[in-house]
Amino acid sequence: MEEESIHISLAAEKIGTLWGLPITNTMLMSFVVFAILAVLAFVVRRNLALIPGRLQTLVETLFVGILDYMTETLEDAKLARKIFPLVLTIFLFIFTANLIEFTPGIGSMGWFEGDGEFVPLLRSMNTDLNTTLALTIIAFISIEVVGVATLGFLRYSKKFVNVSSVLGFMVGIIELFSEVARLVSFSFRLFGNIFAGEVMILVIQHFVPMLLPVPIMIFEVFVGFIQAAIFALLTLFFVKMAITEAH
Amino acid sequence: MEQIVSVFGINGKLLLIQVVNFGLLLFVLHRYLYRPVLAMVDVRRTKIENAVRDAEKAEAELGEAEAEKARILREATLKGDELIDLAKKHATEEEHVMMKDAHRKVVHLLGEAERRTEREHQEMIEKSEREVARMAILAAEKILRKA
Repeated sequence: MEEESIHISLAAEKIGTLWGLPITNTMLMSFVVFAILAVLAFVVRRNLALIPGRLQTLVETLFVGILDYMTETLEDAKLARKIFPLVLTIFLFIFTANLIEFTPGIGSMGWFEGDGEFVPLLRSMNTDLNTTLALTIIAFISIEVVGVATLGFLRYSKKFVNVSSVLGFMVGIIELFSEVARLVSFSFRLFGNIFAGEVMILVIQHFVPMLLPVPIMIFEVFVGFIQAAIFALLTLFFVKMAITEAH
Repeated sequence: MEQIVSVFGINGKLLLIQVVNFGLLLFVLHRYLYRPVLAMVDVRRTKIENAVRDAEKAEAELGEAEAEKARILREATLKGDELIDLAKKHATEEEHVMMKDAHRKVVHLLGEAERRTEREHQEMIEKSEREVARMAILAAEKILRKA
């Protein structure tokens, strides 16, 4: 009876403790994603040549395309090149994690705790608010730092603290709120989309274990791509907004 | 808020680990993927730029050489024509001189020959006159002796 029901936990399952640090299955997953991307980087770098191979051509086209787009958006080639690593790493990290979330073994390998609760060894990385919140905090801090570094502290703070008029002051307060609200919207958007996808697959699998989950999984991978792109693009756009002076 | 944190399992340590993990990934990818790849793209771009510039230069040089060749050819032709003209003029002049010389010589020779024949003719007339006179004398002697 217990095994028949669907168990859904919003929080990631703790699978152990190391030096007093909790180890969760999503954390383990983020290490796996790290390893995959590191290996990719290693392979690409080792085969780097002036006359590019297939993989190098793909990677170069991707990088140059993204960099060109960023330069176009920011209208600043130097800044684009500076935040290019951040934006692309956000995209690659989230996209890789979402791409492999349905790999057999992830979510199905694990053990039963004493109370009959199943604890998977690996769990899709973005179904943990800690991960998405961490990414959001990094993006948020980067955006603020770029804004302050580009405009200067005084001119940047004028966006939020404007005492020239009552209306301007109100607008500044609203700006400040929307700025902080990003922390929530960024992290919950990604978390919610991926978590919902996982739950949907789980429910469908419960009723129709074969065939039907496949198109849903393909759709969820697409959603994963979209979410990764949205996270990276919004970071880019907020950087653009941060370096644009208040009117 | 407390409830949200506990339901979603938000944990400062976990957050920190994820931040560090991402930071490390950013560093690794930047160092070992983005920088080398973009540097390679830049290297290739400069190389292609140089190659294009070199090709353009070579083309321009080729055009110049081509023009130089044409100029030299034209000059040579002109000079050759000039030389031929000069030679022709020279030859005509020479011919003229030779013809004149020959004419003069011929006139001279003709005169000489005429004068010689004249002289010989004269001499023969004189000789025959003398002979006629001698014969006449001989005849007269003969007649006189008979008589």
